[in-house]
Amino acid sequence: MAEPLLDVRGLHVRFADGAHAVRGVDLQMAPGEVLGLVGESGAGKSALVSGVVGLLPRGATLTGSVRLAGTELVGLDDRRLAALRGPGVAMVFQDPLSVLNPLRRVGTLVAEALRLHDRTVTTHAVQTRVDELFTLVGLPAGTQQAFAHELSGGMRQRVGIAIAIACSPRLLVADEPTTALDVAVQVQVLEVLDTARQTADAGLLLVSHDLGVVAGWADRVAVMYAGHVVEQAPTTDLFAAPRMPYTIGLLRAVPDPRAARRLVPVPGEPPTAGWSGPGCAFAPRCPVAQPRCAQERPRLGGDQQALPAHLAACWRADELVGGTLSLDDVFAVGAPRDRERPVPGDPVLEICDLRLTYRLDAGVRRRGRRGQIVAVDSVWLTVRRGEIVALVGESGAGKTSTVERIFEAVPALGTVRLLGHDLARTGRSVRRRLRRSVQLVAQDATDALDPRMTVRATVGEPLLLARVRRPERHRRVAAALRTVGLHPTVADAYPYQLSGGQRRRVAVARALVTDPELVVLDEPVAGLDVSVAAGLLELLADLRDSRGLTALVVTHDLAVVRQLADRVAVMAVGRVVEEAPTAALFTAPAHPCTQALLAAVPVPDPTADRPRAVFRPEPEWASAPTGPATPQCRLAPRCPLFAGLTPDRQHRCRTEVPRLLPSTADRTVACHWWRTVVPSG
Amino acid sequence: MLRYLARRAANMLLLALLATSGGYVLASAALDPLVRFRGSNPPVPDEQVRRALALTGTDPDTPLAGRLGSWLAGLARGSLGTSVDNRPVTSEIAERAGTSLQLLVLGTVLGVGLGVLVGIVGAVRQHRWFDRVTTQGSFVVLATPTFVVAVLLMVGATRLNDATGRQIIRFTGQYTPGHDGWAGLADRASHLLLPTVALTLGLVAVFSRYQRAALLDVLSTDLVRGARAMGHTQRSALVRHGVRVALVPMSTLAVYTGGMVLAGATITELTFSWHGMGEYLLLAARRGDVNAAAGTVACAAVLVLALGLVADLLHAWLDPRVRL
Repeated sequence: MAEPLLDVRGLHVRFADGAHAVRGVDLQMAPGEVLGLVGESGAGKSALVSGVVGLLPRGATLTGSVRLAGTELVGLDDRRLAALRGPGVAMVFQDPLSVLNPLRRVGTLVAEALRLHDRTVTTHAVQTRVDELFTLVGLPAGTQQAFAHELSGGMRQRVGIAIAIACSPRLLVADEPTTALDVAVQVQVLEVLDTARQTADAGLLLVSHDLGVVAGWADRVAVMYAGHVVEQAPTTDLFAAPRMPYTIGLLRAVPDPRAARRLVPVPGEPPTAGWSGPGCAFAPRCPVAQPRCAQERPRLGGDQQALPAHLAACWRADELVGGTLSLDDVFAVGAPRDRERPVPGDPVLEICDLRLTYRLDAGVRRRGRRGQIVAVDSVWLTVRRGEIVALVGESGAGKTSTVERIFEAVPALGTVRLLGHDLARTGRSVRRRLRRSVQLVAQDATDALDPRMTVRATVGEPLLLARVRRPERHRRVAAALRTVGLHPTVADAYPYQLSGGQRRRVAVARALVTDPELVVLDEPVAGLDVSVAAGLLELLADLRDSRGLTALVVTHDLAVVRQLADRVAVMAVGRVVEEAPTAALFTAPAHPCTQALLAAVPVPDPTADRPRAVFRPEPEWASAPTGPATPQCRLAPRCPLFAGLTPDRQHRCRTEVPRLLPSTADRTVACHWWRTVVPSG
Repeated sequence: MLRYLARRAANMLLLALLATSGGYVLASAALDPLVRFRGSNPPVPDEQVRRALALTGTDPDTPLAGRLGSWLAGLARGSLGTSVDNRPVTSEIAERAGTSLQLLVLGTVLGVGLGVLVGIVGAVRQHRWFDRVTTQGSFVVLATPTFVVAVLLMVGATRLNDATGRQIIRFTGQYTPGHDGWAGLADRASHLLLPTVALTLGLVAVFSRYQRAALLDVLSTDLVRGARAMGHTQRSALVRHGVRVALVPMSTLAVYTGGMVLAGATITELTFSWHGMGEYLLLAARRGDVNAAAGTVACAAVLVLALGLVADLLHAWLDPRVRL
């Protein structure tokens, strides 16, 4: 590298509470380069970028050297750093809603970013530049007048990007910029970020826990573990030939939306932030650790000649390069699962034509004055014994409302049949028994577990309600814990003593303890680190294979669906638009909405096609109040297929709701024209 | 917007009517209009008592509903009836309201202003010495009854006066008779000092806590980091983005508190012998003056309701997320 854009050497970050978050990081970036920074929570990614941008919280100390285009940043006072933030280095945050001032119009905020660094600039020049920036990030000019809360998540992030590139920074730092967004929106935002980067000719430091995002957008990748960069290489090299066991574990733990595969959970847990020791931080979890690994920390090293270099911090990296140690020696991938599924049995859950509308009240006694929101608009779904069905769709598609209906948390029209009984027509005692046969695993295990109850009490609670006696209860709790891969001694622990993955397993154990007919899992791995999620997904697949687990998985993560589900139902604007066996749906999606979703999914493989945004406009209509529904396909305004149709065909989309009809033996599609082939572009 | 205002105004009117009627009924039930005639020597002739009661409309022989009705009828004409010393309650209240407002406005403005400042500094320098001292201080003030604070202030002022040998701080009543012009003004200011301090202290204690919590809430988001990333220094990010956002909830609270201070001011007025609304209410209770008590309650109710509306409008104006 000639003069590096960013040159970080021996960087340490220590927080006020004593946590040593970054422990001597060396990192270089060339001008215009995209460097992906990956690692699990607690690895020090955020601390590292906060240190680089100079936005560490009060009390944190930064030592070492950060040079931005030759200028040393460590030790600069606040005023000098502030002058650099904007034209020198700019940042895109994870949650734009908490960054954008709620009291200002977003156009004003972008203008402020410009004025801060050039106080002499004229109002006219600022306005011209703001217009330019809004066009660049793909926001209509009218949105300048909007306040942050009036915009959708993707639009807010676009504003965040506009602010970041306002002063054409040399380096753009994006900290999990799309983590809070739906896949389709994620792709759009990443595309905008990339365009913005190119326009400003800036380098991009892209922090993400999502290996798919990094594979698609980064030129090079640095992997962090316990405050160290443990491997650093061009993206294709890193994914093809990782040289550090942790990276190998990470890559083998990620589900791939292209095909179901066995996932390898990395055993153990990362060290705490206060950890100290002479050896490699990963050694305790490393399957190929040697005595030396625990005594002496390996430096980041490798072939310095090859540029850009592939560096790894592992004593056995050379063996991995030389081939005397293979990737399978480190983390062996299990034998592929026998995908020959037994023919599913009787229906456990049948949902017929479920409809749910929320009124928007203008006040007491003014019910429905402000229109209504159609949350669920005709959902048909069947789950048979012994199969895992996935319900997928963007946020606002109506997935949660549908699930809530199963547990009778919301009133709705339509029929829900459990084990052949119509919930609306059964007596109270039968309904209680039926309800006990369905168990929910809520998304956020931390919220779902009572902090004052031990694991034994939590897991045993459903048994208590079923009047199971104490000794029997304890026996079954221990068995359920063993089933989910937890040691029975965990029973005496309280939730705060457990890790996120363990809590999630406790939630699953509670659902399984009564041997339910159906388990509903709401976003089973959302918010979990890759290696922990891998363990949970494998567990669920094992339960299906060994115990014939019947489950409905609600998620927006299509890689998880591919990994776990036998059949998939895709939801959009409150309707199921396509339903098919998983493999069929992924290889040949029929509905334009399914196609768009699949095209947008990031693939953890840099050689694969980069995800594309097919559905251009954002789903604002999802929450927009509507009057009395006019019969039409509500997807039409953003449908790529619709845009290419002849006017008479378009007329049908506008006047007739497409019904969910069988297209082949095992697939149903709700689209008038899905067979029509429209030239892409 | 206009429809909202109309609806709110109608709502307010109804609530005010309920509150004042309730106030009247309560006053009639609790106060004994005959109390001032008892034990007088020689006894007041029945005929005279009856006449006096008829004049104030508080004859216990008239059913309560009838008394309330005629009182409300008077209210509709803009009269709050006659007090026991034969003065119209309306003019008495008008006179005393000026006195109370003087204290109230000054105390609220100072108390809220200082409280907000203390809260901001406390939040920005959380857990440093200033934060600790003010936190402890506000709990001490909040735990101390207002009259104790007032008496302590008076003791301090007396010591000061004794030490210097001059009457620097005067704290009995509103003014010393016989001063006018600049001297009169200085005299009034001197009288105003201690009651204002007493009132302000309590408000500072409350508001610094609220403001500190509100700002800490804002600081826990990425708002200030975002502003710094844009190119603000820590200080300007705090002032231009953090503090402004945290001030919005305070503004409505401050307006509302203006009305609530009435209660606190009663004790302050009494301790410093100010002839304000609070004193009037207590006097009414002692003299069994139903009209005066009901009138004071009615005024307070209207004031609090009106300030509530102002607070809501202010909030909507300051925060675009709120829609009316």
